[in-house]
Amino acid sequence: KLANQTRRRHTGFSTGRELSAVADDAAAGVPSSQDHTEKVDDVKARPDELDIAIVGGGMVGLAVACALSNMPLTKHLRVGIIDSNPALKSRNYLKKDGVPDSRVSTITPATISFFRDIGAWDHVQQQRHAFFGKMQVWDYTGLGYTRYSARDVGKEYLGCVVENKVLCNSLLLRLQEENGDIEKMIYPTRLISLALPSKSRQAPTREAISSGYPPEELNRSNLVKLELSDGQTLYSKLVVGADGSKSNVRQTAGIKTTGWNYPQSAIICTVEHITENDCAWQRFLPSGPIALLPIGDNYSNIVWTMSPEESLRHKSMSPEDFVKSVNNALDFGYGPHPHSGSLDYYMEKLFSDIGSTAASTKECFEVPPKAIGVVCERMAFPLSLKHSHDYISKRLALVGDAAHTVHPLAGQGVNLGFGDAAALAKVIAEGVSVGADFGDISLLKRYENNRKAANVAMAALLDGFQKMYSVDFGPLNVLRAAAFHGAQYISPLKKNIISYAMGDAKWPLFS
Amino acid sequence: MLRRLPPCLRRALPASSSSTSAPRRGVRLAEHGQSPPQSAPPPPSPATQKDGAVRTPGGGSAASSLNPAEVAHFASFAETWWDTEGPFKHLLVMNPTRVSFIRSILCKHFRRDPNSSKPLEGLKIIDVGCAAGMLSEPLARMGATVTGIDAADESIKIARVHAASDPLTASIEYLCTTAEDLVKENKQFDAVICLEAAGIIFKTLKFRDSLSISERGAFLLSYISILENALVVLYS
Repeated sequence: KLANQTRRRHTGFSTGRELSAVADDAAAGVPSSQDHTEKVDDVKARPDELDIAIVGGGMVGLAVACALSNMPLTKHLRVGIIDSNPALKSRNYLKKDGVPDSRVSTITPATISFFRDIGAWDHVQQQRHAFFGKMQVWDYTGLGYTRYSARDVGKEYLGCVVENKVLCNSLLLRLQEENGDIEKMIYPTRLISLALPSKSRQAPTREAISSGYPPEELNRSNLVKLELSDGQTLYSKLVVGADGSKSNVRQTAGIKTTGWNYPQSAIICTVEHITENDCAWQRFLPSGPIALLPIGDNYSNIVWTMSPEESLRHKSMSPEDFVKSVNNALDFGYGPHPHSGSLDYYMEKLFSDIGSTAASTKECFEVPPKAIGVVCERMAFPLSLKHSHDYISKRLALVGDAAHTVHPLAGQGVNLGFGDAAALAKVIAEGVSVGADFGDISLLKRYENNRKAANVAMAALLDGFQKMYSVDFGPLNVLRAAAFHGAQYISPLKKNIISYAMGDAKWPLFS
Repeated sequence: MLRRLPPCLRRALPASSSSTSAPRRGVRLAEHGQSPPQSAPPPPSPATQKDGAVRTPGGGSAASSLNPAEVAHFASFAETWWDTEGPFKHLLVMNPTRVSFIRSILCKHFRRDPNSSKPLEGLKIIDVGCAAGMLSEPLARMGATVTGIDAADESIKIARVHAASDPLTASIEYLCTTAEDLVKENKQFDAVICLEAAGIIFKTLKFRDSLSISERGAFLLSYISILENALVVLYS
């Protein structure tokens, strides 16, 4: 009974696709500080020492940097971003008139609120983005459907579909505003090795005591050492692993994961319509869900989950055949349209007295707009669930897909990542406010406790949903359809589902 | 009543509260005196005791805030003080709360911006009974110029080593001395903070007037009251 909001692509997938650029011979430098900040620093920091090193300059890594730069208590911190992706050199708005990229994210109102707080949302609004206020989810058996509307909970929109490159670009532009010159903040290179300080150093030995005042080397031994592919070595008080599903940081730190690969792949691409699409559509097929997400200007994004064999076939078929296949999957393919019947009349009667009625309860099933062409490259990637046993270690924190990779079914993955970024920045600010060492594990524990609860809940829901809809079995089909109809007619349940999917931290069934 | 306290704190408190130099008055102190013998710490080794005595030649042990036995007792825990899973983890867990409280008081007292990352910049603060630096280090990270004093030489050494690992805290001046001895140096501070050293509570009130506090200075003293099972804070 999870709201089937639209989906998004894994950051890990994007990271995996990025080619390793040849490292520039950019000089290593400390991010420029405000004059006031430099004045109050008793001890001059060395150029190769950072407060926080963020490994991975994708959407979530940039969001961590942006959040820190935007808060009074943390904006003085020396932050470095390690990523060789050339997109990090962008300093201007992306053009609106081109064809949308196939890698998009569906961001929740909670994420939009976070972007506003860190000052990046203005930049998103200057580039291509598409709000949607309606959503329809239905089942190939034709036995049930659910429509959602933002009006049901008094909101203007359910979410917003944005290209991943627009989100990254907006965060970069905001970083530029806050820091003046982010050339010094970005290390366009790759992480080769990571040396975490051993726990035993926390309590100095008697030998260290008897040697009198300790050598300066003791200073470095309490920091994380990062060796980069361009030959540089950095030291940092805290390392943030934002390097995606196959996180190098997580593996180096020896943090284990639990998870499994689904026997499914997702095909993503952009299609064009005759008219603008203003609704998010999702249909559950025998092989997996297909989603049609509006991204503005008569374009929509397709996210189609199917078996790896089918995905290979769909990736290589002609554009015309692919469009036919998409339209078939969103229309009469595999089964009939759901329609209102006598049963619906009694369902409506039965539940109409429970709370105020959600407006979308009375809405009829609609057929999504037909695609008339595929306008960009089709991409396919395997789906998996992965959850890190620990999000933190001494002087280390994992965020985004490095900590958790979920099924893209409801498009929640990157929103969880942005939630991580907000929570981690908040914990660091709390540490600074009480003069704590923000690399200390007892402080980072607060971040982990906060985020694990949210992320495990979402991952479990999505996994359960995936399993329920991957079986084609008569009685289960009817049960599934009943679940859809329940969601359609029980207004309080529907409203809770909408709020949860929009990022409210309440469970759909209790409140 | 004693059993409600964490074992590490219960071990520490009787030692300090049983100081022979502290005057015994009223019901509270009488109850302290009645603590069961087995909760008393083991006697310090002769070598340590001797070192403690030697380090206070000027004033003599009679004038010291702590007697040599107490100094040795605290020193024996020095190396594990900073371990978040060690015997003092409860104090470390409590630390952010008390630091947040102190930050709030000092920001109001000196009219500093509470949203600044270094609100105590320019203030000279002395941490009396600093132990391994659990309070001195946060104060330094918040911008203060910090002097930490403690009578236990090993504590001071541990505090120095720990502080040296962070440039923000390496500037702390740790002195192995007593408050009485420091008075003779005529140093002046904006704030005097004395926390969780219950054994010297009454002497602290006495040397508060001795230490040079600048005009509009602040004085904080807190201790864990066994009778009330609470953290009591005196602020003036």
